[in-house]
Amino acid sequence: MRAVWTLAIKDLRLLVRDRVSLFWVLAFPLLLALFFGSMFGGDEGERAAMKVVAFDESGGAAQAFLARLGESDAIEIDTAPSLQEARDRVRRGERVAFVHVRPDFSDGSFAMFGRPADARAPVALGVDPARTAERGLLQGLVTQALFSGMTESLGDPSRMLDQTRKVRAQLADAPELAPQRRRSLETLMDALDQVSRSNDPSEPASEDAGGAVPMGEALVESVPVDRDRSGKPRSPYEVTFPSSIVWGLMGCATAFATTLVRERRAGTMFRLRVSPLSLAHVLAGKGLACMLAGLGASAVLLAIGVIALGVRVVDPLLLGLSLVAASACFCGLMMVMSVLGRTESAVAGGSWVVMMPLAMIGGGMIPLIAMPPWLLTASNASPFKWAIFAIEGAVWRDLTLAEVLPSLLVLLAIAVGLFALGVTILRRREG
Amino acid sequence: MAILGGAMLEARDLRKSFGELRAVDGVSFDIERAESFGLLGPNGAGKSTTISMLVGALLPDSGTVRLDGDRSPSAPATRREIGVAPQDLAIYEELSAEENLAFFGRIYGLRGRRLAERVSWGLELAGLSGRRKDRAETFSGGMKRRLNLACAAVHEPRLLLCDEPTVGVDPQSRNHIFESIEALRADGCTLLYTTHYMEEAERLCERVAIMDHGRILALGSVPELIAEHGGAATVEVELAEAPPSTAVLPGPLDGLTLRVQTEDPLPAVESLGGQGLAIKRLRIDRPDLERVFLNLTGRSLRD
Ligand SMILES: Nc1ncnc2c1ncn2[C@@H]1O[C@H](COP(=O)(O)OP(=O)(O)OP(=O)(O)O)[C@@H](O)[C@H]1O
Ligand SMILES: [Mg+2]
Repeated sequence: MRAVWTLAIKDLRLLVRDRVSLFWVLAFPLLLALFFGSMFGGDEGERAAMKVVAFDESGGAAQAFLARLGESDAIEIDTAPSLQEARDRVRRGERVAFVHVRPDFSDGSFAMFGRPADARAPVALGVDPARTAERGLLQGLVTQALFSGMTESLGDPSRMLDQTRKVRAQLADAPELAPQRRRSLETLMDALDQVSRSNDPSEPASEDAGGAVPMGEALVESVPVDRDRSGKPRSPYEVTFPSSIVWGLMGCATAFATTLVRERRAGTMFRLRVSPLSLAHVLAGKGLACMLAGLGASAVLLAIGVIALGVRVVDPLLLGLSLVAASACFCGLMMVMSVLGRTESAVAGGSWVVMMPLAMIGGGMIPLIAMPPWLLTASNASPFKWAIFAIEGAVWRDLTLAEVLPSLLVLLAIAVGLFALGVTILRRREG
Repeated sequence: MAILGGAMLEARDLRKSFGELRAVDGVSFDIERAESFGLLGPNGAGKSTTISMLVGALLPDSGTVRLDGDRSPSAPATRREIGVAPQDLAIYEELSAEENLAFFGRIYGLRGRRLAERVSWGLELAGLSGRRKDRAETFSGGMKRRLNLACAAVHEPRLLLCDEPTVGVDPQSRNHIFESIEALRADGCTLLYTTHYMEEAERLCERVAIMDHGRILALGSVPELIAEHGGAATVEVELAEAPPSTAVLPGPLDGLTLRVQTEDPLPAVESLGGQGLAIKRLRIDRPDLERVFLNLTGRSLRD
């Protein structure tokens, strides 16, 4: 055991002095955690607002709509003197999108109900094609601003009745409208009229109306978000750090996989083989070093996450167990990768070929919580998934030991299986 | 280790082929306790392959190795008594001189004060006491070679195998290595030394096996080998003027140069002087191991 310890300490010392390995073990995972963590955006308020330019042809009818749009934290809005100018600002990348309010816009937008089917929408949205990620959000925000116009009208009976009257007039003016559509619109207007009357304090309330609530408020209730509620990541860093820890373990495994061939090339393997140590000692030393390095790297990454970025650990004991199992699992992978080639570059290349797909399907790149169901099923084949799940279980999922146990057992089974496989191949090779 | 009779190391009919190539082809020899034994041969003779089999790093195709009586070279207790300085440097470049020595000391079971003592001894041996904290990667080739040797001897082995410990080493470092090895010898360490420099074999080895193409061609002490395979000494005399016609020359004359092959060169020179010849220059070439090798193989040790 002492000899194994001596070997492990030597390997750890070599690792610490090898800048390239250190990069993969610590710096790269940390960069990943920080990069993805900041990309998914921490607090809403911290995210830079999207700059949007508006061109308004409604002659003032859209003022309330544009003001509502600008109220959103996510949007910063200004106006352009012409449609061409608005479009150019987006083309030049100065704005994310332009909002074109067309002349036929009328707030509340009930007018749209009576519009002929081929009429243009009252509002056009042009989004920079490079900003696909924001397109959906922008469309949502614009629609929301339009709708809250409507809900405001719903809450104001006189405006509402006025709107429905306008729509009825338009319906009468549109003989080309299909009878079925006409009927359904008329039914809708009837219903809206009734809602408005029931809200109107000047009209006698029907018996069951009870205390009328303004529509807009009834639709969405705002509740305080309990930030410490367990079972949910409190910040994106709680999602990115567990996976970055697993990247660190992977860095360790790749680094140690190459040390066996490196020792053979440097001739130190020869010395070890003619010493009183057995091959078992040598391999156990490698395994122990890999495991300790993995735990050390995890501890460093986690400490940075906890101290600098407010990552919580809901169950430190479970986290310890998870990290031990995950490190062991990657030790097993290391053993198998170390026999992938006879030169350092062959082993390093082979390791990446093995690791990358495992990382990709196992949540190393797309977080498990963001995975589509089919990928989540596929991820079961990757030790990455089990390791991340076990670590997340202790970091934010707040799982019990019983819930994490299957993952731990899978990790340990992979560890034992792969380690044995690697050792068998090495034994045969070294003679 | 039990003090048994018999050789420290016994190699019997070792054979090893790599594919078609017979790297070692029936090698047998004994090394006595506290003896220094040399394997002298050109590149590719099979010296390193033999060493690998002797220490159990390579499995022979056939043949046996026994150490210190009848122990196998792969038993841990036997290995503790052996030190190997491989031909290819085998040190950790990223560790300092001191850390390398301490690591190899530890894996041979040294601890605490004993370890510290041996590490200083090794640094002294390697002439690296002043650079103990420097990483091996910052050392010159000769310094690394010396460290390579010190790492092999740090655990005080009773049998030390040095595989060409002086390649690429300047004369001063080479001398330092010789002195170190002689110091180890003085402490009773048994030595196996491979080289293709005959001067090294002559200086360090009591007995030498001459090896070529995987076989031992001759084995014995240096004087024995020379007496047996070296042939006669050559006396070469350059005369100042043509010899008088009455002179009886002991050999053929080529211009003014006379060459005489003789087992015993001094009487031959005396008799030439007695004939009143005017000698301008005199050279006696005694046979050496180089000559032995030439006579045995028809080639010189190094091309
Ligand atoms: N692992 C190997 N695979 C194939 N051939 C080998 C191997 N090791 C040695 N050989 C061959 O065996 C022969 C003997 O090699 P060896 O290294 O024992 O020679 P050597 O006497 O030590 O030479 P040198 O003085 O150059 O070190 C050589 O022809 C070499 O090519
Ligand atoms: Mg050699």
